[in-house]
Amino acid sequence: MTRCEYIVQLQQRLSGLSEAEIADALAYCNEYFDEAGEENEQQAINDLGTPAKFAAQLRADAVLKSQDSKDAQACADKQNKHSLKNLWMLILGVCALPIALPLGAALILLIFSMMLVVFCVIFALFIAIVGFLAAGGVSFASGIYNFSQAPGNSLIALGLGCASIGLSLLGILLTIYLSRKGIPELTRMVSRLYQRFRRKETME
Amino acid sequence: MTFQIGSTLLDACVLAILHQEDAYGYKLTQEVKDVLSVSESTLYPVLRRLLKEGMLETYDQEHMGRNRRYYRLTGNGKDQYQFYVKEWKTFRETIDSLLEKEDEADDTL
Repeated sequence: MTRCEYIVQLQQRLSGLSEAEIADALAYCNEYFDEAGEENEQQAINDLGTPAKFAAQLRADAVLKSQDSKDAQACADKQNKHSLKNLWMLILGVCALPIALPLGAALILLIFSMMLVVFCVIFALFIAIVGFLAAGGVSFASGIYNFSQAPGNSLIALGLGCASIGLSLLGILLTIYLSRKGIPELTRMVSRLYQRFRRKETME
Repeated sequence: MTFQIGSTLLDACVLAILHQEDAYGYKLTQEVKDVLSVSESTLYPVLRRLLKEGMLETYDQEHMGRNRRYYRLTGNGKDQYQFYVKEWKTFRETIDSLLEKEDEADDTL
């Protein structure tokens, strides 16, 4: 490598640093080459180190020094950016209210009505169970009561009573199964929806 | 050289050389090379850093139609140099006591 090539390469590798920094570095190297003299050009290059190394060392030192001030600046910048972003979000939210409010209300009502349906089903089941139980009980009782008078009918009544009570028992089992499975599932769905909604907000 | 010159020690050496006499980049490098073998690093980052820290200042002098940039110690630089001298004394005594202890052990054997 010749002196000229060295200087050119060094200049390229120093790009990005301030003009003053680059000028000082090049002045140092040029002076060094001048002092060394032409006959010692290669030795001078050895002393200075390769352009890559020279530039790297210079950058490393420059970074270390400016890091403290840069960190402080970065923190301040971050805070400014954050508050600005929040302000924009707020303005956007207010502008979107005419659509957002009814949409949000509709969504809430939808969820609410879904939950209502589930509870109604459970309630209906409950009523059915009670009904079957009552009918079964009455049928069974009348069967026993009238046994002496009309055995055949009584037996039918007894049988119906038992069947009815059996159905109500099955209903109870079904209700227990549904509520065990259904309610956690429903709450899980709602929370998942909520999470997705939340994630969308934070991503924006 | 067996032992490496850390960056702080290098600073101290540069300050010591400049304490004796102002010097320009090339001459300074040659002197450092004579005493130590710092083939790994050029002195420019060291000089630049010492300048930024206010230990050194520069002045230009013409020589045979060329411009030479001389470095010299500032007041802070001189204080820092004295500090390094003291620190080095302590350090050297510590290492000496440690290394010479082993020599004594060999002698008694």
